[in-house]
Amino acid sequence: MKTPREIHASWKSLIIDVDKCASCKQCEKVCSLKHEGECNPALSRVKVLRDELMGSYFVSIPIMCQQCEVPTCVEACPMEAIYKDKETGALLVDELRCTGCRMCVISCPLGAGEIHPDRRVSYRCDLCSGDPECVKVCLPGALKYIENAKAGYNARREALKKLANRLALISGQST
Amino acid sequence: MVYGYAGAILRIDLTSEDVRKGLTSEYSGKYLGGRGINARLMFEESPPKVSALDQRNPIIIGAGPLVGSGLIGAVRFEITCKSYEQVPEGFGNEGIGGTFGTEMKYAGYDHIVIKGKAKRPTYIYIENDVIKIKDASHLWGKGIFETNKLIREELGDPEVAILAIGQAGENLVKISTVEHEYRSGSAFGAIWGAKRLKAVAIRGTRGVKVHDAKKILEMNQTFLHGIKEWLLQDIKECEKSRTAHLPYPQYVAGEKSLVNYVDRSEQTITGYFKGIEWADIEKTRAAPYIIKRMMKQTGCCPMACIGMLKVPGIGISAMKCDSYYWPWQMYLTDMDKAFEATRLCADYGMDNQDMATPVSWLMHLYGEGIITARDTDGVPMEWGSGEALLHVIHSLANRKGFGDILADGILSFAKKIGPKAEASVMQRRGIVPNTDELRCQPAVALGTSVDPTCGRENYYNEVIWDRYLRETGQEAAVEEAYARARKTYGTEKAIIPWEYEKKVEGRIRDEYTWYMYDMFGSCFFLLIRGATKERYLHKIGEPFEEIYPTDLEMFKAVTGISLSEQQVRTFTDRALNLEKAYNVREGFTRNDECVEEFWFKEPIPDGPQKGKVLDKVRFEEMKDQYYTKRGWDLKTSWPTKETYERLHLGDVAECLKKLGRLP
Repeated sequence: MKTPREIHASWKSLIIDVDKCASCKQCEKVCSLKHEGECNPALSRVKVLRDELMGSYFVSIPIMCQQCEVPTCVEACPMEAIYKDKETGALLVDELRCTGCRMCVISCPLGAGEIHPDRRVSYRCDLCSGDPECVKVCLPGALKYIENAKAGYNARREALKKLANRLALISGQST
Repeated sequence: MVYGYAGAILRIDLTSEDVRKGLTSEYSGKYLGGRGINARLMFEESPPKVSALDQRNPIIIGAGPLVGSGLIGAVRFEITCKSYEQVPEGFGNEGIGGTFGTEMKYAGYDHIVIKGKAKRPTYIYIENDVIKIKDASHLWGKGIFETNKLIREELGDPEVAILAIGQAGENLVKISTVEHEYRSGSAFGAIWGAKRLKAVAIRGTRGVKVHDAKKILEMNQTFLHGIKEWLLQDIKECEKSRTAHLPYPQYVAGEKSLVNYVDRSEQTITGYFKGIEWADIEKTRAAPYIIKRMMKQTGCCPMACIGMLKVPGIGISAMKCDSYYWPWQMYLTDMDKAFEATRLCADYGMDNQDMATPVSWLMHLYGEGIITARDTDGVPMEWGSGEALLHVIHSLANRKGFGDILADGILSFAKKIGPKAEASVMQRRGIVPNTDELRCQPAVALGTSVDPTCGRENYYNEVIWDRYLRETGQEAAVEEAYARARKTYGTEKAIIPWEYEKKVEGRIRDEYTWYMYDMFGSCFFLLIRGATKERYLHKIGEPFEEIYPTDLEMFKAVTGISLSEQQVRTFTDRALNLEKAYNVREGFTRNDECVEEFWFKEPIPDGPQKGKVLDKVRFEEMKDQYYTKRGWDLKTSWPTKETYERLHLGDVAECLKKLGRLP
């Protein structure tokens, strides 16, 4: 029997590195291909939101369900249709219970959930049962799938790289 | 069920504000995808012998069946217009990456045909079925960056994909472009300007139906594996230094290797068509410049080939690869100025491929004493002067002072200066050459002369990769390539750049490759890298049918249609012959398919290829061979009746017969 802490540590999270997103939207495409069998970003679980600052460069942020530890959608759902998957920690929707009342859509702080236009039920990122397709195509590394226990450490390593590089530029060690 | 294709062709008339929809299926049986159907539409819709700026001429935007299918790199769309830059005006086609093509497919259109002339400045907004022709008076006179920002604000949608022109296009400058997210369609800006069309903004939410989604996901992984392998190979060198700690080592590594092999090769030219040697070349290396200024990497596929640089005091912009050659052509050591100029070009909407040679020419004239500062409104065109470069760009885009004449092409400007200036103009069909050295690359010379769009692109890629392999120490791979070439062509000379033998076969092989990608809508640049080991580098010298089964698999996964190599060839031949027929109808003859006399006369002054000139007799022989293989008449270069009929283009032959343009 695993302790709750061990279970939590065994789950992985999708970590977004905003600086690295190249705005290519490939994650949207493969997500819809995998889940819907067609290429349609409108039905993708991950949405790349792009904004143009000053019109001269692109900032994009992929947004998807972050599998909250204290999920507002679960709290808000009157049908108790949303549950946490024990294997992956993903918040899944019981489509037989869901009535499409949109309480989860309204309550989500990230706007990550939506109602499916064909099936008329709530849908969101299901972490592809532990093998997220979007991470597999993200060559720049804006999306990573990392164990909960290592997420913080990983973020620190990334920060260190940036700092080290800055120092190298100052001291002239860079090529 | 039709997979891949969105199904509709949208026709917009700006004069009557009339919008119609047609079916792609009327064309898609006989012609293939973006470039294929575009060529047919162009032949049908563009009336013969009218000026490129005439309102009856269409703007055709086409996205192939693979665009928006979710395959990596399948994002390219093709713009076809009559080229305003070419003399005489002929067929113009440009492939562009970005989000426009995919949004177009998601909105439900394979092709968009825009004709007529608006009463006031307008822009078109397309959202699925809703097509609005909107007022753009407030956008007229604004640069690309601001236009994009204002349209996005007005529509309240930052995701909308925008194709727009800047001041240069409005002012009908010959080298003005249509810009889309730092990519540009060359020399079409003026055509949009003449129609008073400022921009097309598009957004779609319908998606593209595909035949086999699983297969697409699998193929994506194969491509990514290939890309990673290529990047790792290049990054090795960089990893030793601290560059690997940058967010995007692959970009830096890529550019570094690009610069490494470009600036030492025989292919590039410094000054105004001088040799390859220049004492300050080290100062203009791209890699060290990028490393310190790289802010972000963007692109339309995960390879993200566009680097955004941030330079204090100038701003943020992408540095396009051609801009890395600018310093060499102008002896410019201040890279910041090259960056600033690139940014200005992107904002004004001017082609940065077409910018360096005219400026370098002005500097040459100034150096020779043929022009003085008075001819260029008081700014001396000194070699290496960044101010001179910026001055030319500002004057050109706004048609200010001497820029008013220069905007009509360098030939017009040369005429004003006198015979000495006219004699030094380098141009073929009105288009200036860039840094490609033709004297030791007959295949490139052949390619650029017979290409219906007068493309300067280095079609003959086998040449580059030969060098790349040597410089990365893969001598064994070169020997293997030679062995394959001997097997395929009978001689290894087929893949040696400066030899003339078997180059026609190579050119035709490359035509099949390029047209296939342009028709499908996928990115050649990505796929040659994505395929580094299995599909390209190690396949140099192999015949077409053995290289591209993967692409046909790709096509099948998306559309469900099994294409054979033979069918791809037929589709290519049809598109190519239609493009050619368009030019024939405009009155092109064999004499228009040429390169500058300079390459035949002036030997290469320095470097490993010193002393070489292009052999005119052998060059004409190559053209003869090419025409024979294509089924074109040797005297006029016109395709014969039999060639048209073989491709089921009897109606085209009829049309040309009436005009007396069948040999």
